[in-house]
Amino acid sequence: MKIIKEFVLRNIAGENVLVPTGAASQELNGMITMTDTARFIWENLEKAQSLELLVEAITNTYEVDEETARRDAVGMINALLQHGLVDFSREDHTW
Amino acid sequence: MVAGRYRIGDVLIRINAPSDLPCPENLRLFKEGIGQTEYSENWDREADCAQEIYACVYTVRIAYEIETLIEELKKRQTGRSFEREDLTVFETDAGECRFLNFKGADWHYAISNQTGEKSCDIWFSVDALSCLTLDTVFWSAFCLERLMIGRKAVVLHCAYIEWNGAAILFSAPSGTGKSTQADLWKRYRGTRTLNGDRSLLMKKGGRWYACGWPICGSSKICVNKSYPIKAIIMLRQAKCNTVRTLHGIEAVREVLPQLMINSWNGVFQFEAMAFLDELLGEIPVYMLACDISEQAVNCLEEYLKRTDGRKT
Repeated sequence: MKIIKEFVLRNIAGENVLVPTGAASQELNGMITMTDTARFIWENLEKAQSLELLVEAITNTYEVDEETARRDAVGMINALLQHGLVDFSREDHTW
Repeated sequence: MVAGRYRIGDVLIRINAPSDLPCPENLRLFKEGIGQTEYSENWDREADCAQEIYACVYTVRIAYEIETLIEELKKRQTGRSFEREDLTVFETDAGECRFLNFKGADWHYAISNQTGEKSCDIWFSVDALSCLTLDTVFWSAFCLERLMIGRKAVVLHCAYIEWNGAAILFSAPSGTGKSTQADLWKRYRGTRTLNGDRSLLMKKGGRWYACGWPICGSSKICVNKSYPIKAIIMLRQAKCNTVRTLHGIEAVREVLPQLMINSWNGVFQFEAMAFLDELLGEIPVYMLACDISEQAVNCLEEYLKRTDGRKT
């Protein structure tokens, strides 16, 4: 899975803030705030080879059960796909 | 006479330009000292660039065939590009190259081409010379915001007034009434407006300052003076006057869109966010929902006195 838009991610005023840059700044206005888990998913999305591995990475980092981690990951990926921020290609068949 | 040296905030720049180049009236407010004031084809730019004091040395020329120049410069693109209705930006080996046009126009009025870390070539189209008296048109080609972010200074879209020796910055999207609030304070409290549209914010000696900025938009009020910042006031039109402190992400949401940021440049954005994080950690941001009566002034003044610039 590939993040297809350019964003700058930074902690401001204690919050994780995602701001579009480059061509993305033309299409999207404003900014996105993220929980720590959402930030973790965003930062590890490209590295993870599958949903299972992403869920495993979440449970290894946070004290959450597998079901919660899966629900968070699926919810986040759904939102990203809906807004056209990630690309789900043929090569992503392991997802 | 445009050629000379200019200080904006605490940044010193050098401009070499033809003696008959039209320019905004406010330009002189930022001119400093005695520099080379005559345009010369033999001007030793390398020597000027070598002088560490200048943040950037600009060479301004008049272009009689600007579109031909643009075609030539396009060949130097080596990196990413970005296009907007009134702007084309791309990376070259030397930095950034920009083509500027008026919204809706099919011709370019200026080129700004970085030739080194501290040098930049500017061409104004001969057809645009009469517009150079407009500060937004003239200064857009100098890409000052890019220069400022390197010095941890960012421009805020605001009406900048001085009250009791401190800067109060009224900020909001265009049309909300920034100038109107500044005018109300002038009328009822005798304050002075230093810029009706923008101010450069920077930290110096551990203290935040609002500085004069050479672009003032339609307000036509431009004074080159710096004052320590007391508060940033975000405005909202309302039927009754209320004021409260904005905290955390709420302040970020309000202030970030009013910062002059090169949205196409990720490094710039990252640095601007770092800047904002530090600014909001030290300067209070208030939300003033207000009408256009003296009551609005009373409401904010009482709050400013009560909080005394603290982030309550």
